[in-house]
Amino acid sequence: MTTTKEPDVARRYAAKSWATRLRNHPAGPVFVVCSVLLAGCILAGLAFPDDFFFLSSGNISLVLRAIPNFGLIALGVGLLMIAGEFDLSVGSVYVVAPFAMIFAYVAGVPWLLAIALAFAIAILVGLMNGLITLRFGVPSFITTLGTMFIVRTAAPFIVGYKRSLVFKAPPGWKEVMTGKTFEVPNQFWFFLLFSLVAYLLLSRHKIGNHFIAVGGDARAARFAGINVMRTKLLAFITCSVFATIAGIFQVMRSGKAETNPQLFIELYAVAICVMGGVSLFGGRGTVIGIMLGAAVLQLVQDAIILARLPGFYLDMFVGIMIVVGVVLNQAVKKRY
Amino acid sequence: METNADRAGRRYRDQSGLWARFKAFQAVSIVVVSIGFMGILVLWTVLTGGDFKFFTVGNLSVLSQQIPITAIAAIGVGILMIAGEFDISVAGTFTLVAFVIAITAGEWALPLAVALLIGFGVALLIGLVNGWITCWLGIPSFIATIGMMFFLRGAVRYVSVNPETDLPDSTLFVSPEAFKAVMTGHVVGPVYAQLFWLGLVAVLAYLILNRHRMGNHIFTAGGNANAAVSIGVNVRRTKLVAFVICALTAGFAGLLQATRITEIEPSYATISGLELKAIAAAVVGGVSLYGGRGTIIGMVLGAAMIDCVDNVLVLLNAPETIFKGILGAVIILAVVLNNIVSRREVS
Repeated sequence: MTTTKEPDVARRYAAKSWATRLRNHPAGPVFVVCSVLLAGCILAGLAFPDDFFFLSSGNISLVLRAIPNFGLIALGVGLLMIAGEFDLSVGSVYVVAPFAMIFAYVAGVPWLLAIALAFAIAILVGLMNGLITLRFGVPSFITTLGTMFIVRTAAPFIVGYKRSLVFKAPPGWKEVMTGKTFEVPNQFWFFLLFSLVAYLLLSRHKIGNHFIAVGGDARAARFAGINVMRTKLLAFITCSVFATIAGIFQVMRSGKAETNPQLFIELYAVAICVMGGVSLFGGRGTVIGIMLGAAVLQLVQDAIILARLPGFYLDMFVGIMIVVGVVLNQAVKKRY
Repeated sequence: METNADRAGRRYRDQSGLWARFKAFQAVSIVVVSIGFMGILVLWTVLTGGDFKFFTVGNLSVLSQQIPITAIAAIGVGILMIAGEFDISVAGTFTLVAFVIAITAGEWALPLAVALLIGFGVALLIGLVNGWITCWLGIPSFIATIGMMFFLRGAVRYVSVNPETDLPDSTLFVSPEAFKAVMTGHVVGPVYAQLFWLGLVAVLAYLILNRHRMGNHIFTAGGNANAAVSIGVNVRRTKLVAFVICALTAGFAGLLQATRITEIEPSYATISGLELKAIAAAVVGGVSLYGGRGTIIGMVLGAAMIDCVDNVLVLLNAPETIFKGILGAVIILAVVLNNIVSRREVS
């Protein structure tokens, strides 16, 4: 920020020490946690290269492939949470939209049309979530709890009870989407790209301002002339679309589409957002925080696997992090 | 021009007749829907000439063992919802309490009474922690209890890990015959002891909710927390009690299930969907999502209805996933209808 004329505003935007800025940034705590975790993993990897092979190229590319999977979903969920609503149906969309796409493709529909179908389903689910929530005044987490099961059930019901579909993508697609560039998996590059898109949407575009305004205080937003309904609908659709993108990457990576739902992926996404400093009550949150939150979750998962600890530690960690994350967010907010 | 006083007078006059009083009863919609549903089932049985095996002793005994478990959990969740909060960790509590009782009574060879005490102590603790996080740290209850749900899933895996295979494994709950007979014994025809336990829990819950000061506090805390504070209700403590009631009923449902099936599966915590069923039962039974409205009879009928739908789908050989889809649709529909009903009452 450059200089302003009003003295208190000037003081507010005056240069502060990096420690203060870090403390006041919504993504500050998660940045610290992520750095400490990463440093710890690297140190442990250096100290015990035989047991804790964190630094092996195989493990690094595994982590870099895993982060985009939850990270992309969390980006959408985070944008929606900033707009003041929840979406628990992302786990179903993540599974069902790509499955429908592959189902259509295997049945002979052209590839690009099949992709369009996946996004059409995403937009439809987003519209359904948004309209039920906003028109009938149902709390969004109840609406999307319902649509989570409806979507999960409806899709395999329509396309038949096939557990999984193997397919071969048109030449070039698999290489571009899941190959490696400069030794880094392409998914990770795409994740950075989509994060940039989300950042531009949230912080450099009018609609991002509207998201934050609507999530922070819907009444005030309405008085400021924002169409609350349209803004929230857009947020719901964005959320479903991001989940579909994540699902398509997952399908391309594994080479087969499954109807078997990923249990609780939506809750992991909420956990990532909360860890990343997105407020549960809307109106506060950053894209960088969500990205770091996704990194923290995957680093912990990786460390637990490498240290050969039992799997229940991850569940307990996620459970505690949700609560601790919200408490921390509240504390940071109160300081303002 | 009708004044407010006229309107109030009309309202009370209208309640004098039997039909008007029935109409004014909060749980009226669920009673009507249940009777209609039963009517359809009877008609179906008659029309198919007995091919539809809903009203057989075997099927009804399955239901009389299944419904109490859902209904008891739904009563706890429903009371908590009347107090204006949610609990998503019910399935975790249900499973963990069953495991704790089975392990303390089996592996540790403690007397059954002590095992029960420890089991319900765990449930009490879960309720207190949920309530503390929600009311004292100010976190929305559905997020706090999602955190608790993850934590309990981890805890269930921790207590259920088989040291030989290093994988979660089921545990046997061996209880004395007398205990088993009292908890889940066969009484007559399709009637099992669980039904009496459901009756006991329902009556107790009714007495707390409608005949005790605590019930009044629960309704006001959920209906309008600010008003409750200004008339001197300790909202935090009231909600804490509601959280504890919810955890204890979930634990009791877990005990009933463990006594009946004897083999407790760790996967109950993840795939049973009990928390969803309990919320659906409460919502179908007319409990408001925003708190302050609901009846025990509605919760019990809602739970019975949901289990009957599940049962009918099984009888029709429908794929099991369809049940959850219907559950999802039913929750949304019931909430929308509840909203419309409560709006009509206000205006």
